Amino acid sequence: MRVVMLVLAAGVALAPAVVTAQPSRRPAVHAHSPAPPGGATSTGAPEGSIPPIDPVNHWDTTDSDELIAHIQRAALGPPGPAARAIAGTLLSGVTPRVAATGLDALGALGRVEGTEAVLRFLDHRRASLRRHAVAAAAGIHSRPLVRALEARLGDGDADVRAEAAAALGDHDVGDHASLAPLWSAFDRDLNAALRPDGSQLAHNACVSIAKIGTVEDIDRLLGYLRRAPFGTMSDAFRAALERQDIPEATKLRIVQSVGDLATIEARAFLLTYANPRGHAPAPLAEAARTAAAHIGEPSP
Amino acid sequence: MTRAIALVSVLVFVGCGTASRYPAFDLQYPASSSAALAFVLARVQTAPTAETSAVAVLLPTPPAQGFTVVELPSGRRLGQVGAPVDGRPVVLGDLVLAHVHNTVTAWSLEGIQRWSVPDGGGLALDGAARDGDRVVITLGGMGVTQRDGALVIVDARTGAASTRLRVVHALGSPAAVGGYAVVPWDGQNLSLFDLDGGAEVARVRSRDDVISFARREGPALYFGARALYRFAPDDASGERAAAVPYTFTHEGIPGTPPFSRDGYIAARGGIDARGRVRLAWRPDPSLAGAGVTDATVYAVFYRDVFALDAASGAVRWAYVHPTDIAGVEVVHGGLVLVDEQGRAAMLAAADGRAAWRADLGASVAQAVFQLPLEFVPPSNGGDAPRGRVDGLLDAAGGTDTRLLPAQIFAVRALAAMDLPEATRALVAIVDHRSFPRDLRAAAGDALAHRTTGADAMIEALDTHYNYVRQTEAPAVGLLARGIAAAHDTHGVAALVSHLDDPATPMAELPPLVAALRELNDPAALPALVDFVRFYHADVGAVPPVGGGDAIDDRQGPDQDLLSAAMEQAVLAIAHMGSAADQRVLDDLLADPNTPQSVRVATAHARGGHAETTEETPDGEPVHHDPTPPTFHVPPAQLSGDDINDAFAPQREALLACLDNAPSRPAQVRMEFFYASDGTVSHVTVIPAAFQPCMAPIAERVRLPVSLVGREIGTYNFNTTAP
Repeated sequence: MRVVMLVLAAGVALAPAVVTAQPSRRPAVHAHSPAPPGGATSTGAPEGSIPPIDPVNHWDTTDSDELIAHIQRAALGPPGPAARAIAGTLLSGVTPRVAATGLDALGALGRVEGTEAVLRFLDHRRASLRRHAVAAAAGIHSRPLVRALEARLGDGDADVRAEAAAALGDHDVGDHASLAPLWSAFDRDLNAALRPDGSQLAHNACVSIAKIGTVEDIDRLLGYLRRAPFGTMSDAFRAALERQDIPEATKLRIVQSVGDLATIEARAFLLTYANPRGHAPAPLAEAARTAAAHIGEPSP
Repeated sequence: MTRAIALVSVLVFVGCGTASRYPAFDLQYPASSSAALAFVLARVQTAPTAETSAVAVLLPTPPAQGFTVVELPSGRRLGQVGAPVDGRPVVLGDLVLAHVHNTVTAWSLEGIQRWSVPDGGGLALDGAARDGDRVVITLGGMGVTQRDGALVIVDARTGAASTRLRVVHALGSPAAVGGYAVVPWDGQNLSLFDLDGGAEVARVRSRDDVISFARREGPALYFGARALYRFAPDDASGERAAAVPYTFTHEGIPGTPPFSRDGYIAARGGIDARGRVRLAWRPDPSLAGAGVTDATVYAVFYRDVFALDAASGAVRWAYVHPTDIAGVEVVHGGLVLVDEQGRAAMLAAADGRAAWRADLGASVAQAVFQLPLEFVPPSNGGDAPRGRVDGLLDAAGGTDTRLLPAQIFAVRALAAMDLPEATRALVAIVDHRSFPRDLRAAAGDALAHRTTGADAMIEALDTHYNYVRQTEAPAVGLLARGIAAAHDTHGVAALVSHLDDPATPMAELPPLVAALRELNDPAALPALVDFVRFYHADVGAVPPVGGGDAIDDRQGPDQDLLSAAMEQAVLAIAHMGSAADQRVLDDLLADPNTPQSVRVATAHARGGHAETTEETPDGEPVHHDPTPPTFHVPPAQLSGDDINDAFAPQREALLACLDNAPSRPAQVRMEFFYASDGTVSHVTVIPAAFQPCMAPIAERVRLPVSLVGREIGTYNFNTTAP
């Protein structure tokens, strides 16, 4: 993260690069991460002409501190060559500390040249490095990486899959094809979570669905109001209510459905949404106030 | 004329001479001649066979007492007795005999007490038999070494005793036929007594075998203990070889049941493990010599039944009953059983299908039968045909931990079948993570020797772990061993897919990579090169996402396993790789981040020596001699056989620990830790009296190399038989 901050401070552009490459180093026997329901795979379809990254250490050292310094300096230079150099070095086999730094840098650079290395690290045996790779994949969000993020919803590590779910809801990361795997993850985790507040995967998947889903997806989420923890649902609805591309009628259904719950939490949610300092359109704010009024004050 | 004279002389010999010179059970009584035995045999063969009812006597689950008599196959209750029966009853025609208090009491099948005779003071019922209106009872029941018994011959209608002999001998389970009481005693004798006068008229003395039971089956008389002898003149020699008995000596039967119940030990009345873990067979008098019905021996193990070929011991079929089996009896064409919930069934000898079922409506601890050999219940089972493999797969499965020996037996039976379906069944067992580890290891070992059915193993590798799909990772290591053993290179792609899957447990990686190396298929090279390149420096801590102190999320054993996998990969690359691939190995050697063991293996593979950073206490560099490549993948853990084999050379030394011991247990249990290199430590010996002597011996044992980190092992040292 410190590297990311450093890179950010240096003005490295975070805007996603145009995805033009589909790396495939071992087409004959390359492993495919298990595809989640919905049929996505970790590698996706070929997209362009970025040449494969050679797994070569671009700096003449194997010392971790020196490599980290090289990566940080490279991240300040031209982003394309930097991403190629970092990706090649990571693929040549480095210590976990160097790998984490490199992945953070690739995510911050957001260059498609980093795709191949990030893909490889999404399948790394260390969950900690897969988490760095998830963050990097969100930064690059080339199509193969988005498909790979969807595959990580089935990861054996709870943090990895929760962070993959959150990443798919990030701006311009998840797409329409991501919705089916997100729904599957949400349903799966909703049934498995033992905690009263649900699990992080269910929460993040639900919120991501609300962020990137269609009106139909939002309506479908309303059906979970009494099944899923309210904390999860309220975060998801908050995300949906903030979206500009969701019609007011749909947002009104959210307000009314939450109001129908008639719980203290629902009332608090509605009043927060109706707060005059918020960004809720007037009709929706009024509807939220009205629904909250019907619930009434909680007993002291 | 000559035959007539001979017969008269035998009659004199049997009927008068010997009987008058020696009291019963006299140790001076000589073994009878062939002629004398031929005379007895003639009477046995012509003795009438009484018609008997087909019944089951059901003993209730404690604390309930008594028994219920049920007619078969109708299931109709004939009678019930509430007396505190303390031993297994015996059904003799229209009587049920059982030990109760200090008596042996007879009831009718309707539960009406007929008579009662005293047990002679503390003696238990060994067995009883009936010939017409005479009942022969042997008492003792404390084992062949406790020489205290009684022979009682009573009138079946009144219980009036015509003979009552208290002897300083152990008496076994008797038979009665042709006017003789046939009584095994002291382990090596079989005496025939005249039912009318109680005089001993003939004796068989075994010189090299044990006799604990006698049994009549139609026109034939049988005896034996570890083998089944058909009474014949040849028995006069007392030598096993001359008599040609039927023997069933196959090993590995679940629970290691004896061939027959010990006739010198009284059978208990409640739940008795000896009744639930046993071999069931019945002599077939239609055969020329000694043999068993349907040429089948049934191995019963709680809920499981295995039908075994009487000659080869091969499993014909396996059957798993829903609950524990309380009693069985063999009839022509199958096995009749009653379970502890009172459900009866007859399993067909041919295929194990239940040809007949009935609910007897009682909770049963033990069931005793009186069934004619030709008992044929009406067919109402309706079971679908099941193949041998399916039955064995059923027997190998389940979560009843008591059944592990039977499960492993089923796995071994599957392993013995050279069929693709059997391989598929073994794969299913290996892949079932809820099954006991020993069972899965046994199935995995079996897979490692398969030559057919690799397709099933490759198909099993199609599955990967996925949290959302709720699929589990297959047992990659065990399957990899099987694919390598079958040398099926079609499995390379599937194996590689698991090499790259982070959900593949670290313990599975070394056998997986070793299998790829053994398959020696260049198609695996890119994956192996990528694997060693990508992970060669993967040692140390990782800073978390978002910052914070670096954490090493890899446990020590995991790092060792990863290194072990890389060592295997290095060897494969050195063997198969191109010049460019070899350069990757050189890069590994040059990288100080590469673990030492991998560097050593790489140097060895490249024909040189690795630079080392390790030093001796004197400051000298340590040079590791790399283990020469072995083409056997170490097992994930050791099987019971592995441990037994490793301890076998120490048997004599362990036996010496028993010298001069106040008591000699039949079995000594040793629990210990073992490491991947096979070293044994922290040995606990039970009984503890042998700890000081046996523990150091056990610690000298070197077990086979395995992939365990540190595992608990158990060795049950059988002190009576090798």
